[in-house]
Amino acid sequence: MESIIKAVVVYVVLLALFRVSGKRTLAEVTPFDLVLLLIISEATQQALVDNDNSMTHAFLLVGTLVGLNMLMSALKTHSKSADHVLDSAPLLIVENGEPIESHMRKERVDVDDVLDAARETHGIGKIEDIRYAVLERNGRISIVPK
Amino acid sequence: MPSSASHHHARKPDPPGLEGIAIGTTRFQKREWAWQRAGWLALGLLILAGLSGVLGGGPLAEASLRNASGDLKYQRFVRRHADSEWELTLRGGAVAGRADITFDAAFASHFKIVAIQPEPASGSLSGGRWIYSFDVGEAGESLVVFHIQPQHVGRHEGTISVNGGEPFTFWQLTYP
Repeated sequence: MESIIKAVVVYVVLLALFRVSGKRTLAEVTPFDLVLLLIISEATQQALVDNDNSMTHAFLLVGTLVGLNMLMSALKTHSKSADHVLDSAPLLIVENGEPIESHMRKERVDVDDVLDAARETHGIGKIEDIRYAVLERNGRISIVPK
Repeated sequence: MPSSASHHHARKPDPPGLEGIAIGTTRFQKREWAWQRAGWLALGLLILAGLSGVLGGGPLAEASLRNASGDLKYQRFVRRHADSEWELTLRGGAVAGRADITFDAAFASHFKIVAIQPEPASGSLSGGRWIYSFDVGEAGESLVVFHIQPQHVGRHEGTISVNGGEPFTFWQLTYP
């Protein structure tokens, strides 16, 4: 029983932590982000496994985590608000060439990030040529050109 | 116009081409930002609590007790299955030739003694209590260190006594 409680607590706490840190946190994984991710997994792994290295324990943990993930995706397809709570929602950050400063500040995105995405996806170099830029839930910026 | 009045409080319509996805400062987005701010505060408090030792291993966790038989230094806040050190300094006058250190039954049921430095000359049981006996040579202060692992979450009380003297009575909070 204890392993299942542990897996649930770790799942919920990590989900909350990553939701609190915002959409952009792991959008583009820099080498340092990758290292950080590995350290995070290592730190939680120790707490999850504790001193029980048995296969039974491992399967219980993995089963609980995978099961929770399935439950969450079922919830997300069933309810729009669960979807928002668990996965956030897309946010408009540029409209008709005008950056929406208040949105960008709150999500820690700047015009350079938008131009980055614009160049990469559409070869657009100027903010005026962007009709809409949307900060997607996965932290990427999608561009609709004029 | 009645229709525009009824839409006065409605959200700005989604821009053409992007209809249907929640975009802009919806109620949800504002709530999400508020929750995120609250989350940052909680994260900051967690780090402060960690630094202070309230969650174990810091200045607020240090505790010490003193009585006629000596001094006991231990951690008030500990974490389950993590080693913590208990330092018992025996006063020279209190132990002559032999020191019997007794852990009460409550202690024995919640803790695991991983190591004792130095090794006791003998260990014995008496009515659920654990008794470790040391031969004490020359007079003077002597230090015994117990490496102890709490096994159960929660607040536990216990006593340690030396040669049947006035006991050290302590409490300890174990985090999961």
